[in-house]
Amino acid sequence: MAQMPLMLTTADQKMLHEVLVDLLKKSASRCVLLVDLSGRCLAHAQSKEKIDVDALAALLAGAFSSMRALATLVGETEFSVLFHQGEHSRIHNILVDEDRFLSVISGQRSTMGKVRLCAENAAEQIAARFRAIAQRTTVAESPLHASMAKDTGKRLDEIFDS
Amino acid sequence: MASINYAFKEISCKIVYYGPGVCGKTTNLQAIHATVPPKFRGDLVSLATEQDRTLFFDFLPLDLGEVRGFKTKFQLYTVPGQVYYNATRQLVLRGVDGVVFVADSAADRMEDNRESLANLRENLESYGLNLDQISWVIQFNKRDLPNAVPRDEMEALLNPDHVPSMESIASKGIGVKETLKAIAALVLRRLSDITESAPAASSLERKAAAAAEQQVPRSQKVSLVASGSEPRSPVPAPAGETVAAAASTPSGAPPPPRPATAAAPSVAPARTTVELPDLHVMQKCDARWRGFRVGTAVVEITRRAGADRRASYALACQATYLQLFRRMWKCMLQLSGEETKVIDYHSVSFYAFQDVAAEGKKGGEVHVWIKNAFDKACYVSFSGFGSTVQLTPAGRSWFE
Repeated sequence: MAQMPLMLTTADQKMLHEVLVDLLKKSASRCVLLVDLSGRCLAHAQSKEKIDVDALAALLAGAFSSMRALATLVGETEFSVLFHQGEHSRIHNILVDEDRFLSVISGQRSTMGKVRLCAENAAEQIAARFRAIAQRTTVAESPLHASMAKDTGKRLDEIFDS
Repeated sequence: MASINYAFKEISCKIVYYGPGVCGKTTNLQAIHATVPPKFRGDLVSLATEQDRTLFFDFLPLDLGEVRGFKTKFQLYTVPGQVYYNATRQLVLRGVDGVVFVADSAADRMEDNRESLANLRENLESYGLNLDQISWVIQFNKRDLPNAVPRDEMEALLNPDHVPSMESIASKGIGVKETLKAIAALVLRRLSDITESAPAASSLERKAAAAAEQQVPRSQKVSLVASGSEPRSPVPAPAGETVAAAASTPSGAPPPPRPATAAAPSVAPARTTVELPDLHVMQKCDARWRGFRVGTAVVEITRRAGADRRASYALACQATYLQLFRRMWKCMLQLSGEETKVIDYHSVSFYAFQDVAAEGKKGGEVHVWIKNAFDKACYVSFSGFGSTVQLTPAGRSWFE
């Protein structure tokens, strides 16, 4: 059976965005990302500075996946939290569910305890949403156009030849 | 597993370049990175050893822009080819949508190719997948080698299933685009088939989903107060958030910007029965930015099915700026006597408040505050159901 793509409706995205913005504000963080373990950034919110969220998501997913493998090696089923501490920044990662984690990048303005508390609350809300998404049996919105594949080929030609 | 984000109209697919060590996987990504203009790609992230051998993975995000109404993105990954990095290869394959198997054409690498392909099958199995369930193509790389094995032989050895295959010299950029086109087409075709074959939600299911949405605990809501009236049924708003929008009323007198008012979520707004007329209005108006006319906007409002007091309307807006940029927004509003709820929307969220309809008057004013996913806002107002619509872009935030 073919793998079903993850389909986020506008309502899903709105809810995720609101949770992330709330987390960003409450924890006084610089950037908050919801990443799936395949390396995709599903939603993000950040303050004024612009961080390359695509690269960040790919690298964080790599780190998180490695941590899971590490956990297995030492006889744990899961390390649910991953933490990086730098001179000016911290990255706090918390597992949302089997396939996703939440990453909070904070600076010196925020305290670790607050980040952790807020992140746990947000992770719970997000996990509940994804449980509801997983139970959906229908496509909430319109299917992709049949000529999508053909047009993507044309688009790639344009991009490579530009 | 690809992701389709209907809010941002965005599709995201993961493609992994797989193959034996030194077969040219990273070279493929480098060639794409060198050829594709920066606006369509991100930086090439490489986690490599000092000898430039891939340690974890290489990563290159591609953003093709809008294709058939969807912003199409690909995340290209490579895996480390060396035999002892299998755990890493397995991790990178997680959530893959398409695989490019890069085979080395050198005569002495055929066994490595075969082993790597077998390893790909094994690693996919660890995720409960097999090669029939994902899209994949084979690239016969290094065709310029003097000892390159003839293509027929490579096909017989590595491609018994006859998946699409192509020849390449990745170091010179030859065949790289064709490979990417082939895998992109396969991935998107599969995705189209899946979304078409899945049952579509009925309008009732959508409404139920929208109703359920109202139950989701929210951290941030916005209220809107119609100009010239007291707040009657505000949607709860976050403390401290203000509606930084100014709108002109149909009479031309601009009301002062109003702060969003916080309301106790426990107070349910009273509803009254109100007749809302059939409506189909289309109006063109100027789009302004800091007082200058920078384009045009067309607003269309149509009555949707539903004769009860919760009649719903579809609102679509298309704006063109400086003849260069075009944006379209669509949403569906549900109007009742005391409050207007968002029941479906694309790209923007609408909160509206019907001013005088509760008093039984037809042709009341509706003020809509538009807030997109990036918290940018503008304020539009339209009045006189069935007659005219006045769109009042409220300054810079409309365009950002």
